[in-house]
Amino acid sequence: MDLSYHAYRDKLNDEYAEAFTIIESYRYTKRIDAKLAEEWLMELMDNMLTAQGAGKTVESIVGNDIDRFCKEFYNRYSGKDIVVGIVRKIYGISAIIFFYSLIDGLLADEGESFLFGGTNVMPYLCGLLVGFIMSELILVVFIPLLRKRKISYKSYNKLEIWSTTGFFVLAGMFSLIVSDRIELNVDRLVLIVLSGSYFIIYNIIQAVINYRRYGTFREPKIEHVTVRDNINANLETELVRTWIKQYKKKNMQLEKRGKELLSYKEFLDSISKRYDYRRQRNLTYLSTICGGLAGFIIIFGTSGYLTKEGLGKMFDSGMDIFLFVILLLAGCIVIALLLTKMIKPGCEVYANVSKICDEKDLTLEEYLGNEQKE
Amino acid sequence: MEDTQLMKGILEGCVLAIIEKGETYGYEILQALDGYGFHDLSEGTMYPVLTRLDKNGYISCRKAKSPLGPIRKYYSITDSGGKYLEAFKENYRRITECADAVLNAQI
Repeated sequence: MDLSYHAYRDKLNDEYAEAFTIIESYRYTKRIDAKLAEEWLMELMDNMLTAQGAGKTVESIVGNDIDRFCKEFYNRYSGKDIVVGIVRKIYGISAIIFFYSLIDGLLADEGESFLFGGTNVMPYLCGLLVGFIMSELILVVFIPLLRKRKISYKSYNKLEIWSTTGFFVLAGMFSLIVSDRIELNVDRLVLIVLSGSYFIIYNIIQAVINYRRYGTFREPKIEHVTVRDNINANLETELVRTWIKQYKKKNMQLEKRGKELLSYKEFLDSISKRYDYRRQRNLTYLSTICGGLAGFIIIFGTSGYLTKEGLGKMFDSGMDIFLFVILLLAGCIVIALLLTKMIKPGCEVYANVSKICDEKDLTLEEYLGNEQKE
Repeated sequence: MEDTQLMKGILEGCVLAIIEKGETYGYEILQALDGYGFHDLSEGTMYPVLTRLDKNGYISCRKAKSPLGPIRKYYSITDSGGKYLEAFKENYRRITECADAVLNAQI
């Protein structure tokens, strides 16, 4: 699995990061396909990091007029790319429809056929509508504020995260409320066949395109060390730098209060709980499951309150509620599994760094200096 | 020297000529262009040129992890790119000869 360009954002200094966020935000105004934007912005990220490392200013990459750079940078987005982008979006939608229909079939009323019953697609259409409104809101309100420099890029990133989270909650609530009043039933068999066929045909065409371009049915693997090795190599340096900053900040605060300063060993001991893998793993599972259940209660509770209906009317039977909760918990567990995979390298780095610093009586700066020499 | 249609017309050939010298990547190409005197080149114009050359099959692209972490695209010239570059150089020589003759003609 390859990293997105987001993984390297923290390596940019403020000057480069601001320019990058402005260029990144510009893609939304052109509605650039996500996969293409990822590829182009990854190349830009590489060029920026290389220039930054060579001591060059951001102007060496983007020039004096960043708006002009954005226009030219995205000028290569052609009509053909727009069509390919739409085809990809439909692929994603068809996968969602396929699994949504299968799950709907599993939760079908007793006596209703798995294949020949009807699936209400209204929740899905409502979700699409809310998603469209939210993305237009970001385009019309947030991006012009960023490009006119009326908000900082950090504020823009926060706004984007909150509005995306809000979208998911609103989409869920809106879908439940509207779909309860208006049903649009489509035969499940039609949905499964159409979406499944699109899925298969898309993958066949993609395989043919890959074969003509690369000689293999899949895109060639990108040459690199394992992602894990690369994460650990960069993560160790970044984490130690972060701990040095936190250590200095902590001691500044203690000095102001007239208290005794911490040694490096004491500081590392004080943050040990954060990097106790078992503890963090259990907390991650607990918080993900609680978050999922809380989301379920908020969305269904609010929808029930607004429609004046209880869970009994939203679900046909207790078994449906049970199955739904099981699916929700399964989803939370999958998310928790992915999150725990992400926290493990950090815990390993902490264990390694604190052991070496303890054995060789090193400060964190000395540790970093030794590592960089190696 | 401002970016003009003239600049955009020859940039494709110049970028291809740089790539012909050996496998290279975006930042190196920008540095090479700057080294050859394209100081006022609009930095954004290089990327569409690379995309166009790639789509036309004149360059091929290999992706590999850069020493700094991000996926880097390394470009190298293809056979058809080599032929296109030769034709470009020939056309450029012919056009500049004619333009020189016109611009320097004694009236």
